[in-house]
Amino acid sequence: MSTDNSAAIDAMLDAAGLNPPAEEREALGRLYATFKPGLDALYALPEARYEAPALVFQAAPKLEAWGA
Amino acid sequence: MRPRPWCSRPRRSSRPGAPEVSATIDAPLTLAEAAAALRDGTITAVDLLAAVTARADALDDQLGVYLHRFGAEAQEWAAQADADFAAGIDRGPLQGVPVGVKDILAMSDGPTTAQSLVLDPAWGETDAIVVERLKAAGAVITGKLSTMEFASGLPDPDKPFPLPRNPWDVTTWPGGSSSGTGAGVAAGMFLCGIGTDTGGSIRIPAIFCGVSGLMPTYGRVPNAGCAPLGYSLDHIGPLARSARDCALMLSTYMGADPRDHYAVDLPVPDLLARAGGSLEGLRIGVERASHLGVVEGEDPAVEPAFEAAVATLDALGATVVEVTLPHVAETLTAGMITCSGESMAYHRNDLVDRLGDYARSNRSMYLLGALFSGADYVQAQRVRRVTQRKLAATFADLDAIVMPAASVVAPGYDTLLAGDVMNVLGGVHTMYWDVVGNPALVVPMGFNGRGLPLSLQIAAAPFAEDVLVQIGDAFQQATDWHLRVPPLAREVGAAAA
Repeated sequence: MSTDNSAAIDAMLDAAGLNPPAEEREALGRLYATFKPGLDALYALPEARYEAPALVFQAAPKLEAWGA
Repeated sequence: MRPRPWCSRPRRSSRPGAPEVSATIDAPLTLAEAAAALRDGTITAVDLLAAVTARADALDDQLGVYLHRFGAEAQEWAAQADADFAAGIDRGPLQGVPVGVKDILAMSDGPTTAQSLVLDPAWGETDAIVVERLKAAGAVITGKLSTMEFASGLPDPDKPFPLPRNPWDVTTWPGGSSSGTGAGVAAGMFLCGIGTDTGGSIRIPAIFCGVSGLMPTYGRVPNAGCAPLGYSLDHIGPLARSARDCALMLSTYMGADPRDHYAVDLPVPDLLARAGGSLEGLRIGVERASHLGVVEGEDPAVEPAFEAAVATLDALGATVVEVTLPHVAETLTAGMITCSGESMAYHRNDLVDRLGDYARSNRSMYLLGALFSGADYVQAQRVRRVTQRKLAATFADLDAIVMPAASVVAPGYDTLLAGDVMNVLGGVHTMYWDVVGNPALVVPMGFNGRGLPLSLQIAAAPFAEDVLVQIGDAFQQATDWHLRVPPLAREVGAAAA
């Protein structure tokens, strides 16, 4: 993991108020580094260029709530 | 009492190298058998409960299946089922049948922990919609079952919960996160149970424990009352001995509910309508490219067992063709980004205040969600649509796709606890189907050289669970892998019979 990535990861964790121990931060950095090429590949997928996301916002939600 | 057909029924002979089928057991092995026996008077619900309770008493210290057992409550439910039968009231196939419930579904009769130190107990004081429906169907719920913390990560020996063990070899993991459900069905501690599946958590324990597991289409079953892992990935579904049993169980609790935001309001089909033993007229795709020879350490028994299973489907009348799944790597990445982001949203406040109360294996997955941007999350949802669109075109020409469910067998605890969750689950081929939302069924297809189960995975188009049941049921009429009983459970059953 590069120093730049470490700094960025620390900044994101700190911004979220998350404070894992140093060894877990390092492990997280290694894990993120393994995911980064796959993440970039999602943006490189030509078929996704004009695709709409699998998200549906309902203007008229179901208003009954479980457990209420 | 009339003769007990499950004790005298002749069993098929064992195949070379495979564990023997139980010759004598103390209770029906399958839900279908139990439902028939309860109706023809060869067993009562109270006696059936006593039989599975005896197994649990004998085995649970070893297997760690239960987090909480319902003793008196289960007795009452069983007695009520018998009274209903006597009065001519029939609530369906689960009436009087012992059922286990994974402890991430809320239940008013006892604690709901999600196997976590963090979950507020007050959250789980109302029955989950699925639990409501099980009760209305007359099920005898025997207890809340072990999982992993919030249904993800790995077992954590540092937390005050049992380490679930695999009844085929107690030095191995039964899979997760529906660990107790898989191990309990395999050991006969209940006849079927509820699992949940976000990346494979119904199917992985079904694979490792040699039972059947059905992940329904996303939205087929209401999730309200189930502690979330990934809101857009979570599926509640059955584990049981057979595909037929899974269909019987799922039939009692699928369908929309106004209190659930995700369940789809579609007509509830007869899942057994197509079951009959023949696969004539079906076109089945066989996926080898992403499932065979792709994992370091693939068990050598997987490929021959899979090819034998494909030959069986062919012999049953299906037209078998080669197929390749689209965008496997991208879809799995999209799923991981989705799951880590959705779980981070749920857990962030507790992670800030109580990080040490979380299992270590989970912390890394949740914290990863803090590193992806909102745009990354949306891009993952765009990629999910791309894959769905391509799969829809694939299924326009196919009724189902089959593949090995895993390249590996149940790992030993020594290697499991020394590794990380990504490595352990890298040999399991389940998450793709969570990400696209299609239904998938796993059924046993053999054993490896150490007597550990192997499974076939069958996937179909959205809301085509009836096709999965047709194929799984036909396969299980032609094979007997799903009826194999682990030796330690067989010994208990023989002693009680």
